[in-house]
Amino acid sequence: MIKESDFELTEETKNLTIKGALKLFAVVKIPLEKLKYNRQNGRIATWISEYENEILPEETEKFNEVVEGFIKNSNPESLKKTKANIERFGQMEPAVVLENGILVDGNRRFTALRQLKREGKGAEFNYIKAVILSDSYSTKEIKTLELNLQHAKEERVDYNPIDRLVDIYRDLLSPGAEFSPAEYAREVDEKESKVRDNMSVAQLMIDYLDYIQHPNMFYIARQQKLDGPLREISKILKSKKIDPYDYNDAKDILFASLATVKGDATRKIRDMRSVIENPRQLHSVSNKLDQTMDDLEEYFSDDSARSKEQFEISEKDSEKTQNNTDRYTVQVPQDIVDRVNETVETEIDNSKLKKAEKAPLKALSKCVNYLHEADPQALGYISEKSEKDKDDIFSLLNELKKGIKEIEDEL
Amino acid sequence: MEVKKTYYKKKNINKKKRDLKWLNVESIPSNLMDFLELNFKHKYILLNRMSGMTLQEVGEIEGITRERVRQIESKIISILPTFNDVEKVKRIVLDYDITEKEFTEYIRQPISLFRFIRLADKSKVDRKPFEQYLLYMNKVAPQTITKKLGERNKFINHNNDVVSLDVNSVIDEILFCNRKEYTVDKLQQDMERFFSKYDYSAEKKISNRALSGRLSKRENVIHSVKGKFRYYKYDVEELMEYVTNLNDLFNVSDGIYGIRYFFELDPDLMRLLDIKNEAELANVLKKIGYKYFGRLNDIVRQSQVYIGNIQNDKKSKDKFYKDILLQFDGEPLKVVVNYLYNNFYLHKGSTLAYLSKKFASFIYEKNIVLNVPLPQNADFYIKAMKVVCEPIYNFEQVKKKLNKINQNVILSPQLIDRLGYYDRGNTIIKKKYSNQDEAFRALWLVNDYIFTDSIKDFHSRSADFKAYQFELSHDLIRIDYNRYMTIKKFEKSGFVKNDILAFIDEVVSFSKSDMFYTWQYLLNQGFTSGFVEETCFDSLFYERLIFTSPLVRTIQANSYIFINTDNCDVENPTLIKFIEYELGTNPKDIDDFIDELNLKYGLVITKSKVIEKLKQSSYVYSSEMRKVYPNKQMMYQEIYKI
Repeated sequence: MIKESDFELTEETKNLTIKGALKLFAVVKIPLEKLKYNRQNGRIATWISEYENEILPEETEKFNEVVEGFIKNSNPESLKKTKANIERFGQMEPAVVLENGILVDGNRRFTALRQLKREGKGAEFNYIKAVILSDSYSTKEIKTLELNLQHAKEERVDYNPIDRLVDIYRDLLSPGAEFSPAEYAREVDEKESKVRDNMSVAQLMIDYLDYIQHPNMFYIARQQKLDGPLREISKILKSKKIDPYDYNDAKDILFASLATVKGDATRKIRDMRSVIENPRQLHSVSNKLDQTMDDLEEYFSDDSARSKEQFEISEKDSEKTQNNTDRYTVQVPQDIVDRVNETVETEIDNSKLKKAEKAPLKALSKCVNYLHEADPQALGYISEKSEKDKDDIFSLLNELKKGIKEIEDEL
Repeated sequence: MEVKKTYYKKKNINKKKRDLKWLNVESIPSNLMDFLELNFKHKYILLNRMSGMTLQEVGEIEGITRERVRQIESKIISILPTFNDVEKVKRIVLDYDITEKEFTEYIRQPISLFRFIRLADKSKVDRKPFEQYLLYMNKVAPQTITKKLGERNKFINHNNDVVSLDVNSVIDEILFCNRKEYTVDKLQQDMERFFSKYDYSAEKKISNRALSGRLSKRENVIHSVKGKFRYYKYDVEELMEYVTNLNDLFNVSDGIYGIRYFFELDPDLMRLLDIKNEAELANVLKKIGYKYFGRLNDIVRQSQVYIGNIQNDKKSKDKFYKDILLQFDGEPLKVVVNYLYNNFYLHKGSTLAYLSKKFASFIYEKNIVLNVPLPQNADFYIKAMKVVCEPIYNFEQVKKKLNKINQNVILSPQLIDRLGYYDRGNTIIKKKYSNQDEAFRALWLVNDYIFTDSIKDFHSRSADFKAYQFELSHDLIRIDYNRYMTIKKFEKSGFVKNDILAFIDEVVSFSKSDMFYTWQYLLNQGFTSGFVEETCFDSLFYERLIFTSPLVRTIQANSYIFINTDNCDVENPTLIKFIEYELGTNPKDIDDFIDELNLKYGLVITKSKVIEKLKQSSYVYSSEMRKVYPNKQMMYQEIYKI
């Protein structure tokens, strides 16, 4: 709990939109030790999911230490920058905290200040500038504010897409979800259709983690950069060309491919679209992979064969992820990987090319279909009535003739 | 850790054997027609159900309950594999509204296939007209289809879709195909002609009044003046993407404006949105909904626009005109009318008539005579001087402050003078500053930060322009989306203007050999600078500094694209020039290209935007190949191997 005697008023103010209205808040200086990171925050929740079987310390400072580690690892470069900037220019943007000391907005600024304080860079770094929200606001109102802040233009840039999906899962899909898609769309200033798209991607992420038997362990999704490929899968599964009967097969094949793919997963999944949309090819893949899919499933559900280590990333590797775009794949036995890849790749054939070849023919046929709409008798009436229309008709006919001649000349 | 088994259910290898036993067959053939030849258990339940008998009827024949019939039927169906012959026709039967007769006639496959698929499919989806299928597959001559469709009240529209022959579809069709202005009468004629082709004129008569009603509700119709309307290519959802741009139009002082004011404010935006005149603009805004425009209150008769504090009511209107009259105390009425025309685009004739009538008591021999009394109590001036003390304000800001002290006070030229200010159009300036530049300097540059909102609050183009000039001279430095840092604060933190100039020089010399670059691109190329390491701001800070260089031009996408003027022969390059440059002379996969823009430049440009832009160039896009080609010849080479 932050008491009035704990903080000091500054001359600054900050506008926040809360309960649907813009309100001016006084900015105060609060000693850093009064604050605690927010474990509900999407970014932090992703990291906490890694901790699932270990107990996070209750005591504020111990808890903050653990989360500080998460934040540092999640983007060391960015933290370094914030820190240098604050050291030079001071804290420019106030944070937002609740009366109970939980930080709603400003995780990175708080972390930077904690470090500057520890390093003894000056007394001005013992405090954070923030506005305090009274506990009269409901959790939903505070969550709404948090959404507004996170999705404001300046923050959109460096919010990890998986963290965003976790947020969407928590706010819209999970049993405790408090928002409707329409409300959410309004708060983050996006189209509702886009929010719904993101919901289906978030649901696929949940399904996929279930499929690889690591339910709710979002950090895997994050390490493997699943947002791109999952987005592609979502697009493919929405295709009207997939028979409802085949839907689950299609989903299984896509998930199996995602679990076994090497290299650019997004591209691979994208290329599979034509295969999945073609019932003949889909059935062929599904039949050929029947046994392999069973093996894969067995492998995932076998606790003894799968140790936790295969998903873990060492400290050193985690730094590497910042600098290159390599994905970390789930360690599936090589023979399964080979079988899935060979089968799928043979089906991604030149069907694309065949479609492209026939495109102009299709256009021509449409054109002829449409020509029959131009009723000659009616055109006769029109041209009698107006000279201008008559001219128009002739110029259109000329163009038509020109077009036909061009085609004939080519043949 | 406990692992939930939520996704995959293990198959039982023995299940297949049990199923065969249940059906009493040794194996199931790969075609349904072969399977139906076998003597499997419950065969007649399946056959009778396929023939269209109800569950009740079949139950009576077999002597079992209706529910039991249902169970047996669904068990058989669930056991059966995907049959090859069924698969071949399944899409057609499920997707299209096709009768048994049509199935036999056009598809020429055993009717049992049709019946089996319909039986197995429990979904109640809207099926597409069967004619659509015939049309796609070129199964029958189009005129036959057209005739058949006419009998069924349908026709083929411009999109090659089969739609119902009703007033709405016909309106859409006619307007789409004739991209010109229509009147209701003219549309009636064209509709009559259209319907007569289908022997349909009698029932489809609709009154002019009803037709107008329909038109006002159609998505792709835009109205202008005198009952004219035409096809409009944007629907509301697409228009929503431009709400921010449109909102910028209304960042002007509170007041009543002629709609033409906004139409002429941003000709590029009007062209982009295909808005041809001011009446169309009014209708586009109405279509989107006024509530999306914070400062737009109302538009009356497609002409008068109410902005900011001025609502469409008597009180607001009186206030607006009276405040303006106050500024012209003692001057001819004609001057006011001209002022309202020049600054608000209000029609001269109607303004003159309105003012002469409503404010007759203030007009004496065509001159404005107000003689507004000044507040008499000294206390008022002490309080007023305390709250009105900044170097420069706009009228509204001062009025608000003074009205808090005394609700009835009127901001007359005399009062402005008494408070120690003078009037400069939309703003009033403290006497000790001789012009706006000095005043804005004194207002903004003494603090550490300036919020962009406080600049916008002036609702004045000259304030926006002043801020822009200060940014170019580095007196203001943009640090994030809503703030500038002043040079004063920057210097306090240990930097000088020359550091900025040196940084820009570093950028310019580093990018000497590039035609286009972005901040991300520079970093990817290994650009480093002591200035960047010491300041550590977000990319916007550096982008805006580069933007201030006279040697650099800028294209705005999701981040800034800079153009090295030395290497570019085009005067004002646009996004399409950049895209062409980047595509180069080889065919490129569109998705690769999008990724490349993102990785190399940090740009997020959507596929549809790239394709749209390419239409203005010689590049061609093949949606089938998902590739962009520098020209048609290269596309042919790849597709037809010539």
